[in-house]
Amino acid sequence: MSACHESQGKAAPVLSEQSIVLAGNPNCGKTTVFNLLTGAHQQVGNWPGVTVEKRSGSLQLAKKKVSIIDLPGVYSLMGGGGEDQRVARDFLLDTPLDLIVNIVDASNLERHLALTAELLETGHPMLLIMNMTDEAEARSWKLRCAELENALGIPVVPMVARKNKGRDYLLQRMIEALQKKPQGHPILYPAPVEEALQTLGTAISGQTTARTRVDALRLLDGSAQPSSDQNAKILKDLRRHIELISHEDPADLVMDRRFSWAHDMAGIALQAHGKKGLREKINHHLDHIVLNEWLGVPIFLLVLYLVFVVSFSGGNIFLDFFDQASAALLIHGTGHLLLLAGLPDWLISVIAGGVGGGLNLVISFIPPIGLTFLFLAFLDDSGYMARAAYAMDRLMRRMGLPGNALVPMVIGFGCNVPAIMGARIIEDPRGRILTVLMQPFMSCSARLTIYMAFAVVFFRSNGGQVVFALYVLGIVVALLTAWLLGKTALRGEVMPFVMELPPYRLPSFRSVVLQSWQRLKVFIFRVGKVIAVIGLVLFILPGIGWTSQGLRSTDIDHSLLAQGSQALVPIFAPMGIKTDNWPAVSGLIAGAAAKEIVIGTLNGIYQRQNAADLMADYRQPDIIGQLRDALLTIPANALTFIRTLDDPLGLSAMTSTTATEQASGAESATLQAIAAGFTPLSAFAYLVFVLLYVPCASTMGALRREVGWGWMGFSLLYGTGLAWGTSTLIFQGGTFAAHPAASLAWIAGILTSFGLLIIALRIYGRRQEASPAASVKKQAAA
Amino acid sequence: MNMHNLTPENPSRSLDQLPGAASARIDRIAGDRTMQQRLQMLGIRPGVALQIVHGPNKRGVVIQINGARFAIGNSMVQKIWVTELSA
Repeated sequence: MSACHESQGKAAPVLSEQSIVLAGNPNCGKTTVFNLLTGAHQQVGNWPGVTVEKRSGSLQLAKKKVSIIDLPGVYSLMGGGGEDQRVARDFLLDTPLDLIVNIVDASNLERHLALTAELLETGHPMLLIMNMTDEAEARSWKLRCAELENALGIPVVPMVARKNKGRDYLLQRMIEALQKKPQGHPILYPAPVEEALQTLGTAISGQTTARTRVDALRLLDGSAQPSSDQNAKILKDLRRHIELISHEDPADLVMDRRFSWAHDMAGIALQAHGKKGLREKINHHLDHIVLNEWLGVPIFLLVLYLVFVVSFSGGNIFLDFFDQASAALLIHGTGHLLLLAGLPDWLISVIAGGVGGGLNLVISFIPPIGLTFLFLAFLDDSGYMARAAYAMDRLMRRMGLPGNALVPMVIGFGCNVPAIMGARIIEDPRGRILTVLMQPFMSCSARLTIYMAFAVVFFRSNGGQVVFALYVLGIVVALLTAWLLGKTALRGEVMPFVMELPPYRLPSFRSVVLQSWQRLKVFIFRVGKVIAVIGLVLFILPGIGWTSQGLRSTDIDHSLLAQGSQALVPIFAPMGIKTDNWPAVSGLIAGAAAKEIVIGTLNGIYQRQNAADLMADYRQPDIIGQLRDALLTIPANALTFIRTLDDPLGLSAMTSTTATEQASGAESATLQAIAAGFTPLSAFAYLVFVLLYVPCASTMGALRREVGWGWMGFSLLYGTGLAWGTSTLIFQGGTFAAHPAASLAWIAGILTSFGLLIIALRIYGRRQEASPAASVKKQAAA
Repeated sequence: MNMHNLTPENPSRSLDQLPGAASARIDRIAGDRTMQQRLQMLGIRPGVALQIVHGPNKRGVVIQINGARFAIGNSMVQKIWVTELSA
């Protein structure tokens, strides 16, 4: 809801200061230019109704503050591409702008100039950046910027943004352009086409002149349909008229004119001399290895493995520090300050324990997530991702997924949240929804703590295999989910694979860091809100209970948590949870907020620790000591990281009981309680439930952001249902001999429900197919 | 539009039938309008000369047009009709 209000608030941007918008094809280095211009002065905004990143920042130009807007890359104003491109297009056409800075890749000029041709038609003042001139020069091309400037009628600035070359000259030309407002020489189409555009323009008259002209062009070249019968008739007459005069199809006429213009302009700007440069050769050889029919897939798996190891294990080096230091400051420190301020105990509990504890949870996520973003940004800029997607395409296609869907899946091993966001790299909306819905089943690092605690009690000799089996089960369920949905609710062809393979580049450190910091910032603020609220609720529940006098503060056994958990136990009985083992259910409830707190919750309950202990902490907090301890975890964890480089899952810890106990964070008393409450079979069923049900509040928040409430709801119910069904199947299957009739009933019931689900999904899919407009709209909203 | 050298020695054929490292000119692109538009945005359109960089194989083909490289999956490769250019 709050996100909704926010985006509505931003729906009508107030552009009081002068605004400069950056536009260009994907891979033209737009983001690098943006980072170069704005540095750290950036705000990340969510575009109304859609969740494609559009960013704005500010810059001091001639002692005046101007705002710089970075849009998603767009190939054409005429149409095509994903949701991100539509957003960029609409912004360029409908917003009053002071200057469009069009960035083109000098090494691939002709194609990039096709967009320039369209931008010139909007009538906005423009400036052209010829970026990556070093790459053009490496191809032995000579740049003639002055000649191009004359031909286009707008300033042309050569740059190598990645190497910070040309910034000062760009600023100088931008100041000039803001004053002189150069609109350039737009393309002139053959006379009959220009006349037709005039007539069509009067008939449709859009919001802005730019919009009108582009809409008229789109009608003429057939990329849009007329909105009324009257316009359809006008269009038909105009088309016939043009064909009669020029003997050519109007669409071809328009397109040919634009492309030959781009060809001519590129000819003016670049002069070839000499032979192929070294860079070209390196590119060629690298592609030979990376795209090799046999090596392509193994190389991709190796790259992903490295990303996984470094984000997950490397993140663990700092995870404890972030966790403990933020706990010391936000929970104990804040609690102490509030106590000194004389606030009542319950309020201190809510603020320090609830809100502080919630924030503490988000903060401990930062290192692995930040590192994942960092590596993603690096891979993104390096030019490798597109090749990996191509290498994996055939394998993924068999599951009804596009090749690039595998990238988020592997990130999901570290954390499901960046995995869901990472699905943005998938262009077609259907493939993206499928990929997003797969992510909750990828077993994230947080779930491992739970597996470990149980493995040490029940599967001591084969703990590694049990944990590995759980990971594999997660992958299998994820792939089957995509396959099932692709056959039922989200039917459709996997889009044929067509992707530009950008040249290999060594990414700029500055750009990579800034880009991942932006993503991390969004993660912290948006997702943190959800976690903080849920953390607050979970903190209050164990402390208060429903008594004969109403809601009172009680001990944990009579708290709302105990009462609620006991009420829920019957639901979990078929998967082997006994009535007196209600803390196991509490653990699952807490785990819906974040898997990290499951073992903590069990700890807390099993040992009867409650809020009173925390109050003692607030009275005499040892913040310095806690911070020191937190700091000490960094070298200790770094050492572990180096020792376990070959074992990213930490499976070797299984062999040692003490190591596993420490790794799981559970204390011996808890392990004994676990041993008493479960059997090996029910423990395994419990772990399967943990693997498959709602991963955490952050993941649900990310799901809502990326695919909307509807699919988030589906994921929540489907995941939980599947978790319950699978766990029950395992438990009932394993105890079949003891009560065959009851087991048979449960198994039959689950299989029937699953069958019904498939039928329901198929019906939903049919309905969506019947009204394609509705489904497109739904996907657009995502 | 651009119909080049449709002689018996130089017939138009789909992109997957070209030998590796061949150069060719695009004659036409079959398939629906969305797909054609998607390719056009990338500069893959009739009349344009391309060079095969990698493949064709089961996965598809990687082509180079001017400065840019494109990977095209197998399902699409069969819809691009080209005439081979002699080196």
